[in-house]
Amino acid sequence: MALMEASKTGVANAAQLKSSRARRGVLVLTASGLLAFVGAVLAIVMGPLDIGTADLARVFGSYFGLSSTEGVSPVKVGVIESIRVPRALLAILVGAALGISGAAMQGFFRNPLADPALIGVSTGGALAAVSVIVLGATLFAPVVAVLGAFTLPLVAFVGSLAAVALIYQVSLIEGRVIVATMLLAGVAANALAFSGIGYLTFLADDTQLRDLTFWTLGSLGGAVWDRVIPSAIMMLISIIGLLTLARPMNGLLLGEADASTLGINVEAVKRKAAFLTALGVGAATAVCGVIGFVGLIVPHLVRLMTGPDHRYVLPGSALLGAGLVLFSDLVARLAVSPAELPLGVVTAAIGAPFFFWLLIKDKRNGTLG
Amino acid sequence: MKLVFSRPLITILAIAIMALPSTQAQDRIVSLGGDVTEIIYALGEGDRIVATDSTSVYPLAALTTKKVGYVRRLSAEGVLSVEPDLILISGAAGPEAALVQLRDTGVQMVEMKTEYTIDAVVEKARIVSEVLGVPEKGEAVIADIQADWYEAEAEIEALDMNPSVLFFSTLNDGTPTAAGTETAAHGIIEMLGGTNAFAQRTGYKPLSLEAAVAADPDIILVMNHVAGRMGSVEAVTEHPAISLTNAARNGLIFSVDAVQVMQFSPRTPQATAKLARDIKSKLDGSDGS
Repeated sequence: MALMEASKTGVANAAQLKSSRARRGVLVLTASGLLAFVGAVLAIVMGPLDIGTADLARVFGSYFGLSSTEGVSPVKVGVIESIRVPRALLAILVGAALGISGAAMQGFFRNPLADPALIGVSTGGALAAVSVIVLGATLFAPVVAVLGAFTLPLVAFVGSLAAVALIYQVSLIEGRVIVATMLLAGVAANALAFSGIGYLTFLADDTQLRDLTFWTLGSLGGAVWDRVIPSAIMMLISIIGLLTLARPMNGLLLGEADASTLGINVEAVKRKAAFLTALGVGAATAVCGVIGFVGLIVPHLVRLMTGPDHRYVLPGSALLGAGLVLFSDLVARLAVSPAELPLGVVTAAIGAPFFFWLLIKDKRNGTLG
Repeated sequence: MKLVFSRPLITILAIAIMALPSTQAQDRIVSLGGDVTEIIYALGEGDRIVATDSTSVYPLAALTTKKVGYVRRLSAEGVLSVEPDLILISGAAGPEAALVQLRDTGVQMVEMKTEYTIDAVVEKARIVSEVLGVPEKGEAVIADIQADWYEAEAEIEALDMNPSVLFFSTLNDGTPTAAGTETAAHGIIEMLGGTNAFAQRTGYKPLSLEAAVAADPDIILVMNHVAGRMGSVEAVTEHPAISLTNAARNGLIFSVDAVQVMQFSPRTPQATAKLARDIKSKLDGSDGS
């Protein structure tokens, strides 16, 4: 009797916990979505060029046949259509791709410090992208001829994928990823990639150099429709693909042996996650360079609020990532207006202290390693 | 005369986007690139400028204009935020994406692809004066440039030598950087009738001190901030590696003004003439001693 009662309350408690978790998850998703939405609106409303809300309303109204852009200076229309909108869209996708990739990577590496930029996945993509820029007319000419506008993001994807595979193999010891080894392998991978980028910078001519400054510090200033679209398609595939992996990745949380007994093909899930992560990070890096720390901060914050359930962590990281990049880019655009800061400088200024905080916190809890 | 004016005039490519024959004069000009800015002021049209880039430092008035950042790291919306009706862009501008965005907005924009010759300066002056609707003033500025260049050529001919020249853009901060081909420095060396001792590379590239000694140039040019950082041109001469070169032994090390000489502006002929004069007087001095 008593036992039955106890087990009943236990079930009730578990159910209660589950529903409160779910409620919190939904709340976090809603809040992150709202933040991203506000960020997107501000990204389009605010900028060095003063465009009144009346003009903005007229431009956007004209898409729905509600108003005419007559009387709005063509420069303002141009700034909205060719600069702010593609840039905001790129910020959303890059933030979402980096955020969700970070979350997924931390899932399949099964440790909280796996950040695409930290362990060399972004720089792997950057090295590949820089190779295309510098050698595009010579060594890569046949590739460019076949892939066209997709060359840069696809080659960057291959670079990122190679980096993920390398780091994973190196840091895997007896079926477990060793955090210290992973971070050190990341240091080595970053060093290797930067040596490659350094060599290519040496080969680069004056015009190429101007494009290269981009890749090392990260910027959304390259948001031109022609460049945004190929990368955008790839990032979308990565984001949607990773979202469908939420349930099997939850299985991975239990440990690989338990996951296998649940009927999850562990290796296939890991391979898919690694592939989609590299796809998103590579495409993001191809169009805006190395943007650090988004993949680290965002999933951490989300997990802190929702708990480890990937059904909330993955979409939450995508939404919060979009919000973080939108707001960081706002700072980059407005802080020294009419000039512009590199976005990577802003995200690193927020992210590096956060990283320190994580290390100190984990040192106290002894959860590192 | 022999050097530059005989060359084909393919030095500059000017693309005028939205090159509608503008009936009204533009009075909100953004000038990106020190060379273009100097030309606009030389034409006496400086008060039509609303903003420039950070490399536009001459004349003084250019410093008081609004600055939209470094010419190689432009932000399209930053440039547009000063609401220009004409954007003049030197060949140094970038990155490409920002230029694409600027072209898309439909503001009248004239881009110049710079080569490092006096012909190129003349052509830039012609294009700018025509775009600004002051071709007569342009003719006057061009006449001045050409007159200055004739004088400079006389100075260079008086030098009567074909030296090998090494140009350092940095020397004492880490590995030295020397100028290869396709640089303003290379253009200056050719104008002086010299041979670039680092012509096997393009752009500004690192050059080890040992390689610099091995190249054994007759003349070493350093950008003025290098001499400034090291104290004086004499300090450059006494640099342990540089002191081993022919140039140091003969005291033929000179500081070159990065703005006057190297921006390929209307002041470049005179500044080059002065450089040639300095070399000549040093040569004569050492002959006499």
